[in-house]
Amino acid sequence: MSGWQPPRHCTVIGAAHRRKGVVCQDASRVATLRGRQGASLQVLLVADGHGGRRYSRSDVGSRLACDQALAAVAAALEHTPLDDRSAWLALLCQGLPITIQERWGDAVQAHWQQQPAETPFDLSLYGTTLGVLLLAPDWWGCTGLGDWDLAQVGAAGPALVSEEVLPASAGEATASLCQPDAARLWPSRARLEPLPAAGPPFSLVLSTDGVRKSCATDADFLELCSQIAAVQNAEELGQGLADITTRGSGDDLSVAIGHWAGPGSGSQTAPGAPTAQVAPVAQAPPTAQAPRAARTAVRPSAPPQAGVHPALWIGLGLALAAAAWMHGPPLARQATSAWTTARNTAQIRHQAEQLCRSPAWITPTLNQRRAQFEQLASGRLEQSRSIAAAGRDPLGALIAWSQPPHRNTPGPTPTDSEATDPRATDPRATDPRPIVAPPGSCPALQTALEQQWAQLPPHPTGSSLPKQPKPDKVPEPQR
Amino acid sequence: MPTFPNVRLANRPLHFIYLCDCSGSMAAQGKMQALNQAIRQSLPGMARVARENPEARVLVRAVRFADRAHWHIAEPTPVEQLQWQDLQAGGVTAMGEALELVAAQLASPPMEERALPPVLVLISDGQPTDDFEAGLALLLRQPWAQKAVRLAIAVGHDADQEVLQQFIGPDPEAQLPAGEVPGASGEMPRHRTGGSGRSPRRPLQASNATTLAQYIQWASTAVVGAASMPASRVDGDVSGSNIPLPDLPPTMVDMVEDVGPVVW
Repeated sequence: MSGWQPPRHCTVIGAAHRRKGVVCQDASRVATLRGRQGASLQVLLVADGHGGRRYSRSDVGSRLACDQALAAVAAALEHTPLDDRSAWLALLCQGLPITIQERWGDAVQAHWQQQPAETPFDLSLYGTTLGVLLLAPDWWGCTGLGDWDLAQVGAAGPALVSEEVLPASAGEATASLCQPDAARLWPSRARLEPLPAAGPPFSLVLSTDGVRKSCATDADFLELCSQIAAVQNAEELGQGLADITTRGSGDDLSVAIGHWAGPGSGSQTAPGAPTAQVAPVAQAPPTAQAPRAARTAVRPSAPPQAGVHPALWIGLGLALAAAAWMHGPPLARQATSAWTTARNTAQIRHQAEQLCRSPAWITPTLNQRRAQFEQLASGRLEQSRSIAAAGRDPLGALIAWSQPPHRNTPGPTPTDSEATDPRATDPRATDPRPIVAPPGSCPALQTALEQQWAQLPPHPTGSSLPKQPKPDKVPEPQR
Repeated sequence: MPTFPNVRLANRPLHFIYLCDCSGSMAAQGKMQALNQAIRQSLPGMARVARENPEARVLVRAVRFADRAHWHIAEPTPVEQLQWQDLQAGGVTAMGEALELVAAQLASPPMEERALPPVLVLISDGQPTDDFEAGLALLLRQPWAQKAVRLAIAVGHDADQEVLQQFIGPDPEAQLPAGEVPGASGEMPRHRTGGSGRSPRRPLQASNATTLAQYIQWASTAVVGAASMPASRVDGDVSGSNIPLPDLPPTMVDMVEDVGPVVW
């Protein structure tokens, strides 16, 4: 039995589309599939057709995207046990993208043949985004492409766990199923997260971009996700979304919600695994098979382990998990800590490399985080916790990493900090510059960080030590 | 009682900024008067489009540039509240400084996180007399300027088409090498409007008061309408602007056929 409650979804036509007599271009679906071994897999899907003259059949495209994604997942479930996480991670990264792209291409072509128009067939007519969320007894995973968002709402508050990252100049642009070789864009949004054997309940809220764009700020969006997750009544959810599009973006809105209530009595735990074990997080391997030119053209958000062969990461994760299961909690903690440290460092490196590819955006990007610089400098934000939150907020972790030593808040003892601060083992941590150069950073980024830190007053010392955050308070991700 | 309390929902601000050349040459042949009149007359239509698109909050500003550049309307002003004060001509053409002024306002902050791509309309009848390149570079360093819809209107035939094209950015439909002025090579690019040689991705040639008014009207209504609820654009698509721009009105006459009352 799974700890997942029945999934919910809702799509409402945008206020602007309703007013102008335009059809809804969003689509959403949820379904519960059953695998050969009896375990169930929930599938949550949202798709957002692009609209406009160039994408005149995108309402059909989004619906077919959901249909074909569901069929592709069902087919994969036929031959892939749900407890084979590495197989499912590979499916999220490559297998499903290829299959869904092919099926969707065939489906829209068939639709065209049934309802031809004067203009020649063009995949773009059906252009759409697609977000796929899978909820298995032991893990959840996502994949897809485009400007959908995925938020997690848990005991620590809401956090954005997946969003599309494009250059700031991209404006209203998004990745699309209709792009050539679109399957190569999916891995940057693919991830697989094992569920803890014990832990507080949480929800996952998958939404099309109209939801986020209706909110004044990202903080409001996350708050909205919290409230959406709490709504149980379908009619109330529909009314709420209709209100959002009217007072917000005017765009079509889709949400799909999964809720994990805790481990079920019959959850599919790996044989022999201790019940309290938390396996390391497995994430998408890099787009190693995508030609560099293709990746550069679209600049998707590369996964944090870019540069390392995917098999190594999967292998490392499985090896660490196996070692932890065999040797009990102490080694499990060390293994998980090592994994977490490597992952955080990789994510910071990826963030730095991304910024360095576009030097003109470095300062504007950092300017938006002035509050974080100030909070770190004053001690209101704890450096090690910000670095530890690299998965949710890699830019925040990068800023925390760069914090000059004399600005560090009074932190844990050196021994403890070695376990939590990956800078302790990084040779660049001894950089004589005023800041600590983040991994993967370029001179332009280092200079910009120096300028940011230089604008702040020196850190107070002595009896006026800053107030420390509560130990259980994890910093909220910032954008 | 809203279903989702304590969530600040917001329509998205759409910043529309005029950059108006007020150099001495604009005083000749009634060009300044025509520009003032064109903008003033366009406001009711712009307000109507804003009302029809409540998801966008249309906010207008204007920069004037002559010997120096200044904000003519400094505060982002809802179009319904806008009262156009006449611009006065006199001086040289500090276009680069005007771009710098706009660049400062397109930084984040003060630009809002959720804003729509801004619309920038540069109107000029001459050549910049200051460091245009530096101003443009500063402007284009801002992500919001990169995503902006940048339009340029050449008033008369003495306007520097090359700098206006630089402001807009390369015209992908022209398929010309970067930096080359569309049409200068003799190659006839593809165009949006009936093969007339005009495209929103090229400087719009206003050769008399009527044409100027039509272009201003188009920018302040059709473009604002398109920018208010932009359709998604597939990333990597270099075939057009940051938003799908509406076609130029077919009623506009081409520059070579222009037979307005006074030809500039």
